[in-house]
Amino acid sequence: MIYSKLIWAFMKIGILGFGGGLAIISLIRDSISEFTDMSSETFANIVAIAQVTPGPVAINTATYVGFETAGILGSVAATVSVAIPSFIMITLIARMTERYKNSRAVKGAFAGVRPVTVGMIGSALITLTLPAVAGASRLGAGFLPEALCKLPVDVVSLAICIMTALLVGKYKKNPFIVLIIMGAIGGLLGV
Amino acid sequence: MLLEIFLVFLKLGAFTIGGGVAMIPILQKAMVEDKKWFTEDEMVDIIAICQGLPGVIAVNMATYVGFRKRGFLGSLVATFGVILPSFAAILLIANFLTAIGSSPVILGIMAALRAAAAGLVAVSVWQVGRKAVKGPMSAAAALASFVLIAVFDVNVAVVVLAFLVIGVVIGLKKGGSDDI
Repeated sequence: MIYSKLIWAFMKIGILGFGGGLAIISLIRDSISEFTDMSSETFANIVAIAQVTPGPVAINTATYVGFETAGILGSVAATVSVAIPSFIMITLIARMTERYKNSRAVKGAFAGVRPVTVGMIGSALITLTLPAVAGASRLGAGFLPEALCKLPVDVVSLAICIMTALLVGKYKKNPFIVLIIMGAIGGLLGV
Repeated sequence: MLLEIFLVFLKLGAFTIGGGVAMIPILQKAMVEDKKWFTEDEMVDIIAICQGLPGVIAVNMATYVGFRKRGFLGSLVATFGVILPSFAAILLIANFLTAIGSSPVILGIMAALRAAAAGLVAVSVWQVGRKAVKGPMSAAAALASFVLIAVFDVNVAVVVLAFLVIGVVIGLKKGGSDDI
């Protein structure tokens, strides 16, 4: 049955998906090819949409793939299944770290993994920034000077990226308000 | 409290494009400054756990925060909150894709939010880096793990496990300080 296949596939993804987002997406592609005949083009479109819709990219992809494969129930099955392993592991770990947080081994484990977190976020910064400013869809292309639009980077997107970082990071502005303003600028400029 | 947890994560899910990592500065502000549920140091450890374990980072963060605040029920409502907007947005798009995909206004909003998400991730590199890097050893470890993941494309699980083992070994020897 298609639902049990979806549930099993997405549970596996939840267990094996280290590194979040994009790593999980390649796992999704591998494991659904066993039971759907979704073209790689359809999958690429789904991933593109998942990256520009609100919410975690992996959850968006799971919801969409589940929907395409087996309708609304399919999307529920995929999304819930990908979350279940996290749920079990995290609640166990949360309990254990609370209990043993003063042990040398747990302190050492945290000291070892904390710097890796920085490395992981740093590499996510690169994978997110490059496509956002590479200029595939240029903001304000309709009326900005042509010379500006021929540059290899989308200067408007780059400016939005830098302004967001400064407003939230340096000037401690409310991130929700910053996001609403940036979204409005994008909507006004259009692509 | 349960409603509060739900609303925090609902907002987080609804406003972040670009996924879990872009949520970090928003979550940090909500947890440390607004709600005062965790200190900045606790938050960095929560982020380290949620990134180091498999699964969707946003779901991991929701589960962890929910569990610490209100046990099993807390993690359930937090996770439900963070995935609900995804669910609604994707089902909407899957049904009305053509109308949405061709509107320059909507495409413009999405492009701007993607660029903004990259900016938020830059903030989280700074916020987490400032707390996680406590000396020359951890600075070297952060740089090494970045190079391994971003340049040499080494599996994240391998990098996490390697540094976890190094950390435990050193921790047992030195008696548990904050730097490795």
